[in-house]
Amino acid sequence: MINQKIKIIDMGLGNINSISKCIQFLNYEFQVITNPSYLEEDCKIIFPGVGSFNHAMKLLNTDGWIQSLKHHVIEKKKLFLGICLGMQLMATKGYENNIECDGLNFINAEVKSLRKIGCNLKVPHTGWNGINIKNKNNILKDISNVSDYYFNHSYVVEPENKDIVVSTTIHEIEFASIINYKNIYGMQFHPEKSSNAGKTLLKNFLSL
Amino acid sequence: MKSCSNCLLPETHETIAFDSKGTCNVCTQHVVKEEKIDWEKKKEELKKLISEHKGKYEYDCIIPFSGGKDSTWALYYLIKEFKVNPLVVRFDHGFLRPNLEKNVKKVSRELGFDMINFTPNWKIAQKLMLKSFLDKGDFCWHCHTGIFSYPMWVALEKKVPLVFWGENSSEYTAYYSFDDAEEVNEERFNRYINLGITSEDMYLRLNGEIPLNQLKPFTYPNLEDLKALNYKSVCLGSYIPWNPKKQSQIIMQELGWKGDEVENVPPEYNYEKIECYMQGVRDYIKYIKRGYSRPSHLSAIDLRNKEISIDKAKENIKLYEGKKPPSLDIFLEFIGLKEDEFYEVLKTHEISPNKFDLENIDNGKKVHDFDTWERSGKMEREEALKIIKMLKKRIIPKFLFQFRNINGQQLPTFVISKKFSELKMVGSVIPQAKIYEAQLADELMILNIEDKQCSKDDNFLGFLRKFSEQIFMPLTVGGGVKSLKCFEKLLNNGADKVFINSEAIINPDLIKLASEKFGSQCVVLGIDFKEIEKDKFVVFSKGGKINTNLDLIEWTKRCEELGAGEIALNDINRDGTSTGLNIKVAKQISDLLSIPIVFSGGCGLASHFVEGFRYTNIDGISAGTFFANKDQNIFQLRSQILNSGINLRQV
Repeated sequence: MINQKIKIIDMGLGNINSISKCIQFLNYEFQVITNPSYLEEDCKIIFPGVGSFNHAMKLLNTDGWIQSLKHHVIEKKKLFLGICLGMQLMATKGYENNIECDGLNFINAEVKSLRKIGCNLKVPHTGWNGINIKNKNNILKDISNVSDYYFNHSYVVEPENKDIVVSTTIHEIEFASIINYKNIYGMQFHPEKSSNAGKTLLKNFLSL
Repeated sequence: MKSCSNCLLPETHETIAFDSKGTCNVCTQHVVKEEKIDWEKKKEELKKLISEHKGKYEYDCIIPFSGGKDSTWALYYLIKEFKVNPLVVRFDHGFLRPNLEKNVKKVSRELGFDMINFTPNWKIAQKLMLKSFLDKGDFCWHCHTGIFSYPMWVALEKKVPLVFWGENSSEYTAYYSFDDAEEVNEERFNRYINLGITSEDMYLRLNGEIPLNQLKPFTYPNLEDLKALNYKSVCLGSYIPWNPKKQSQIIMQELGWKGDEVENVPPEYNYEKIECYMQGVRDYIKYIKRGYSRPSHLSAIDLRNKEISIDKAKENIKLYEGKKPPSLDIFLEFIGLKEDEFYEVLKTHEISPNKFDLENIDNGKKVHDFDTWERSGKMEREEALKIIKMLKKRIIPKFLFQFRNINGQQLPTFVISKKFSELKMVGSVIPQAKIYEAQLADELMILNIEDKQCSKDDNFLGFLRKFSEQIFMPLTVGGGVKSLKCFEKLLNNGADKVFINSEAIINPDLIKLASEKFGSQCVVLGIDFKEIEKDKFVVFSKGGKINTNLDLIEWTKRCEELGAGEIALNDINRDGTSTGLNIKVAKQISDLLSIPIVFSGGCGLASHFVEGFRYTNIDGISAGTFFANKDQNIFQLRSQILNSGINLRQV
């Protein structure tokens, strides 16, 4: 076991099991936390998320999660990885179910419906799809450019600054599938459900 | 990359092999051409061949002709040297350049011959270009197959058995060697002309969208018909030594044939590939896939003929190779693709060990006649999308879950059913899931068939927790989902998506509430249906026991409106029967809805999966019996599906 403090945020919204066991499989220690006070010590933070943007923000609004996350991620610059909805919540604003809703605002971005930005294919975008590397990044170590990852989402993150886009994916529309801004990382797909390539990405984050 | 010590061609060149001195087989073959072939004798053979045919048919021979240097030379040589009366057949791929048209006019007036010009249907050509580009990373299928098939149809129709082509392929590749008598026949067509796709295959790859009879110009005629004609289809280059440079000079002087500037090619090679205004794109694609393109190819020929120095070759390659041609924009309009998608497609066709890096690509220059190239006939995006269907199809093993008491122990088992009854034991869920994971299944589905409210079923939730700790695959779970609490419990214990069936029929609002709270992407609507009379499909609930009288199509539409993120259909009539999917229903629903559809019921052969994916718009197929009780694992199934031109995930 590599003794590193990895905290996985559990908002009671979705499957925390897979990500934590995947981390255990990679030989890292972790702790699932349901309260922001656990973020105090030195740690890396993983924020998986299933659910809708508004509902998740409502939950984050309770228990002081928002302030605490901002403190540890923005000021203390702790390494942070948002997965799927967890990545979308890092944005400035979301519009899920036609409700405009503020996000965590870690990155200057908006979360928009694939359908509304012109995707005519099936939505949700469910299944395996590839990534196109746009900017070199340490998170991509040992990643081949042909592997597919598992996606399951109807909304995408549109960052203001394209330089933070590490990779894009095409589902008729091209969208950001991995982003990185300073200490903040986001993955729109589920690395914990994406075979060996997904595990490699997680491992790369853990060894940053 | 490794490259030939003599001609510099890299190891990604088709058919290349190096000897112990690092010289490639194309170069060694060249020595055969120069030294070992008795060209005098060959010419005698040619004389004999022609005299056997001359004056016996409506035309002495057929000469397929593009207007480029090689076919012009063949025409010139055969008419001047042997006074043949040929029927010249030209296949117009759609991209002939102005100077080429002029050349054709000059040559035809200077030499005098009858000519047939054939231009295939543009709308068909576009689809063929897009499909062959997607599947093979080479958009020229319609041109390759048309150029070599169409003149053979003319030969049959006109009853002219002798067909003369230009140069030998052994000038450039090792598909045939110089000492082979390279006949331009179906074998050669299959060996390297048609990209491994016959028109029957193309018909299937395009879901029957282009009728087979309309693919005739791209279809090689029946061998029996050709044999009955006593056909003889040969390369002139098998009988006389081929020297493109010298020959170009002669046709320039004698016929007024003119060279032309070609995108990203050194100007001194102005006699090569001047026919087609998509040449620059073709060449760029080669560069992306193989790491070299025309400048290397042309230098290699000159190096072999000792006409330039290695330094000059290297300089030309450096200056001209690997530039993005301005014609790429036109090409993308013609096939309805976006530039990102263009690179995305080619990524999957890279020839190892080449690694393409878009970052180092500069823009190439426009050639002088660029602005005159016809750009009308763009492909509608929607048309293109029908063919692209980029999303990969999913293969989903389905577990019907039951706790069984075996020797006093409650064990999590999985069964398969036939028409929703006749349950048959398969095994233990977690070990089976590990097998499916190892064999590259895309997702798993667990349906608890014990009628218990799942939020209160601690045994099952505990099992699920254990399952998700060991299996790292996308997982849909259902059975007894009756409330939002059930969604929450299943999601928190390891499900990625929740399958809801009977309860949604009683309480449709639950679909809406669940998708608002958890996001529609994790709400999977399970629908079991039966055909109760011909073409009347009805939804059943409670594991197929209760006829709800809901019309299947109406209910699926309703589910989509309420916010379901996926629909998983199950055909009760065909469940476990291995008789194949109900294609008609699958097609109707998957065309109608705009959310993913997973279909199930009847898969007993790999071909049932292929048919399901080929003839309908469904996104996934789930099955129990096929995976549990057939001697064909998912790995084998994957290869059969992939071989049918259907996209699956890449690993």
